[in-house]
Amino acid sequence: MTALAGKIALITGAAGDIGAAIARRFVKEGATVCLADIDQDRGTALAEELGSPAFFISLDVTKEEDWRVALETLASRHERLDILVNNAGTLETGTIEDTNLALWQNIQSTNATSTFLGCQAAVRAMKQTGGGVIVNMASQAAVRPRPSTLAYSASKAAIVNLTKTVASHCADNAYNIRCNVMMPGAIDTQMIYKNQTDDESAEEFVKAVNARYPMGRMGTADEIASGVVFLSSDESRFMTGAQLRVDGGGTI
Amino acid sequence: MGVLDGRVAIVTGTTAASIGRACAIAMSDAGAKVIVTGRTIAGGQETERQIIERGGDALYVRHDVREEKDWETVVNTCIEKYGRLDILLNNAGESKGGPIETLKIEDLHFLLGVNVEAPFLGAKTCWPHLVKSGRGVILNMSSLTAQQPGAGGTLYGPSKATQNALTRVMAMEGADAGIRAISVLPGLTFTDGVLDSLGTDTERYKEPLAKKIWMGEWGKSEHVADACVFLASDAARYITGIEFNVDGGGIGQMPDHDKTAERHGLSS
Repeated sequence: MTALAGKIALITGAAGDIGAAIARRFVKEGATVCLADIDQDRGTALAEELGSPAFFISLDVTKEEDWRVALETLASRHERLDILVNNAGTLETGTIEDTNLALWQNIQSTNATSTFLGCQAAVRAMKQTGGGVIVNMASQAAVRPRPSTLAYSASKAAIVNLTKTVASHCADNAYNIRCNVMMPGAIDTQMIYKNQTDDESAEEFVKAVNARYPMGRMGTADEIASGVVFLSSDESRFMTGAQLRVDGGGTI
Repeated sequence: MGVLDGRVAIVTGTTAASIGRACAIAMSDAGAKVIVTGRTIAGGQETERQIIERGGDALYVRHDVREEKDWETVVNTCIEKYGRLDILLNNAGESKGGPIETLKIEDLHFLLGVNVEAPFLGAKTCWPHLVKSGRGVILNMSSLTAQQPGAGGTLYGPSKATQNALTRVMAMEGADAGIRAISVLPGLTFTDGVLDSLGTDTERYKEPLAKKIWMGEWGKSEHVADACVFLASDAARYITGIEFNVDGGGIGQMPDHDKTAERHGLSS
């Protein structure tokens, strides 16, 4: 299978569970993958696992300077960027009553501002080289927020809106850059357990989360990777500004 | 190896050079065996012929999607020939436009018959076989106009929005039975149906309409077909109950249509 043969891709948050799943699938589909993360240890370990089609770079997605360096690195190694997956993100819980400004700003910065910086860097680079694809990572929480994830949900809603505006701008200017957004439901990763409360066991937590989904289970990182491969490939060549909900029916 | 190897699909509304035929061909290319249906015998046989010519396995069955007994014939034929059913693509549909004051209640009844009753009958008749499949999928062909009036015929949108609600019900019930159900929403797609409705005005309207699409070009049946193959495959195994747009970003709502047209080299 070579849906992404010859493509040069940059995946942020590549050391995380979903980022690594996307990277593994991208390599399988023939892409060369730049693994970007702030976690050097897990990032370089993944690069070793994936071998020559992959390499690690240190990238703090909230820093404009880091993005500049990352794009320069790609330009010098490969002369272009075909696919950007703005996957990096974080989750901290808090309701409207107990979310302090620092938490709010941290979440907006890591999730929404980073996606803005990534889209901006990618559009600037891709328009010079004939086009490309951007896949942003939002969440079911953007359209079905829960009381306990105020800042997270708001940041993900910002990403959905940003995606549409970037898609519209690129289409308007005939840049041949598509920009779409993934909307995962609860995915069985380390991050999801941040939602676990002190008065429930891991088992109770999982059971409660599963019960919220018509399919009766959480998704897997690989199931998100499948969606990202599709949105990155030519199979979705007439899609832009679209939301792909991979959520086991969670938004029916 | 195709992503639909070993699967059997029923695709309705396949008798014209349109989305249904493209979907049947794409599913066959991906490894599925396909029952292709529709009312026009010559067109259905042509779809069957094209698939077999490409090395696929297909059988045309005459089918009026509003007739419950026709559905029974289609499903029975499918099980007799291929022994199983994994994918139902309710593609057959009808459109009706014009100012509200000129439309008749019969027009709405007709559209609800083809666009809502038929997918219901299809799901109902196919359901036990899709359960048995263990990875049954129902794809209902909807339209961008369900979300956005002005993107199609007057009563077409409301009928497709109703269909989308029906799809969500199928998804909710199906989740317990291992069946996924998804609405596919093409935008402006250049098909035989469009040629029929625009007629001699086709050349006059083709470019102005393209200007209104974000990506500056009409959708092709193959764009929709590629999406349907993905949605029917295991790659989409955690996707159900959604509205899946294949619409070049949508129609209108652009900041500056003239600028868009100029950038795409479409200025007249």
